[in-house]
Amino acid sequence: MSVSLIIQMAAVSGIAALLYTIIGAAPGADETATIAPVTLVLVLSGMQPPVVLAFFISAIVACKLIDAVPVSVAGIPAGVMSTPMVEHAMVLKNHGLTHISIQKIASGAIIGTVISIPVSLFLANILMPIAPIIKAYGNVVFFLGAVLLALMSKQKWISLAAILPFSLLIQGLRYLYWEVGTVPKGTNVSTSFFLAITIGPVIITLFELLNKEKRNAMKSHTYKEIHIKKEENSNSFPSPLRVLTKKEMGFSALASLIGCFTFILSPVGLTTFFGELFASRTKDKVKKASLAVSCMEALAQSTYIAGTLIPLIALGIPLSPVAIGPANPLFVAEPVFTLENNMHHLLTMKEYIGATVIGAGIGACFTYFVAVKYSRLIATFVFKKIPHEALLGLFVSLVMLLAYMDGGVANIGGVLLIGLVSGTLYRLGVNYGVLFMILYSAPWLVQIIGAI
Amino acid sequence: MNEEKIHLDLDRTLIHVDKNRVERIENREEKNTGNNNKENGNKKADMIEIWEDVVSLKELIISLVLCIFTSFAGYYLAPAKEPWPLLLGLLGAILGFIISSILVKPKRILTQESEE
Repeated sequence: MSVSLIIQMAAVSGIAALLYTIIGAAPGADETATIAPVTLVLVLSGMQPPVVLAFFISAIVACKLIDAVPVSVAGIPAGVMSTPMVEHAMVLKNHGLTHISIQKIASGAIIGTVISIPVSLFLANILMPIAPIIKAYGNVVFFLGAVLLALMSKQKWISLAAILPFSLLIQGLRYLYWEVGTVPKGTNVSTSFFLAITIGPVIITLFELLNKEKRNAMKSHTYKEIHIKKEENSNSFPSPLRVLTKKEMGFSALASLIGCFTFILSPVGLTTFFGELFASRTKDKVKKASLAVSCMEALAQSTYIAGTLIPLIALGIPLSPVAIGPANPLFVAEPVFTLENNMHHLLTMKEYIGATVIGAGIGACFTYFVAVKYSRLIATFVFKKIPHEALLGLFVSLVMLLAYMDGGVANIGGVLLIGLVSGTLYRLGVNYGVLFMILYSAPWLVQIIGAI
Repeated sequence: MNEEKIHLDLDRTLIHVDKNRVERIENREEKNTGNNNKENGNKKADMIEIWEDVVSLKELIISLVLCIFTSFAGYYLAPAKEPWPLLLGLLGAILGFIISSILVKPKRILTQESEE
């Protein structure tokens, strides 16, 4: 690695940490919808792959760690991943321990990061020899993945029933584009379809606003109320090692390890399951809550890193909820990355390690410092100055632009259509993982169906 | 009116005063909607809950149109050489985001509770 590459990686990691410290603290900002489009743009703009990886890792670490602030300060989740922590963080908040809650969550994140990087690299190396076998059956693996994720979700039957119709919709649009000449025959429009799924729930809500009855039903008569605990500003700046008790540290480390080995499962499900399991044996309410939040954050952080690095290094196909979610543009970002030629094929081991360590190091240090030192400032800045309207505008416009670039005006309509359908399915209980897996297995599945 | 609702960094005594004020404002607004007071009534009727937060319909449309306009403007004004169209498109979207953040006030009430 050259010095200029290292400087570039450090620079983009700094930008990512700053950007996602702000975006990550906003209520309801989903990781996939906020990180994937920006990463995609960077890949398509021709940025060097190791630099993109450093950006992504820093973004994901910062975005996850900063959850500590809205969750602890206001008791509102900043994304799907922080939802399980809210209940426990509220216990601490009600005991006047907001600052402790932030410190525990932030320290849990540091433990998760520190443990998951070497373990993920190790696991990736072990998996490498069997990678050709998994890859040879890529299409089948995605299809089985869709079925498996459907069976593991709460709404099994609707998830299973959605597989065929949704893959027909995707392939139907692709054939239509080829037929009318929107894109050359054989070119699969996929990145904008992927983004359409991520903002599906928003698209369907925006369409509902056009219906008078629905619009009236969605009216809110109050502003969103956020209560912040008043607190003395402490001048101390504790190291993450001293924040956690021995027990919390041990369980957080264990949770991080488990997170690495179970990278293929849903991070939210795991976080809830193990967080509650580890905390259930502690009686004292406050101790239980602080153990739960530190473990949950450690586990969330490590499933994110393992879910990105292991499929990226060992397989080159997105085979984890994180890889088909926020990390997707590292695998597929046509025309720059395809399943046959992506970051997996382009990076050396040294570059993986360099980009991950620099990205995670800068993202974690910056955000830990900011979260522990300036938590209230950040929370009030984001709540007071960043309107939800602007966030929605930013992401909807990015998706529209990428849709237009992928397949012209016709594809803007196509993306809206996919958003409408995926948003409806999402509301009916089909989770993102199932929808993304269907997107990847659609060409194969439709071919099989056609041959019958 | 929004500024009145958001109050931070005040000391304890003021917080109680402000909490009362929030309640007063809310009560007043409820009455206003009930009385079909045009100004306040319309402002409230405009609010929608979307993606776990509250937005104003009119301002949401303004933000959406603005961000889409700035991102496409960046895309078309860029030199026709890769990666400029995409990069300027992204910058356009971020510019739209910043302008909307200045134009639009968040619909959140921030109250500060004192430690007990």
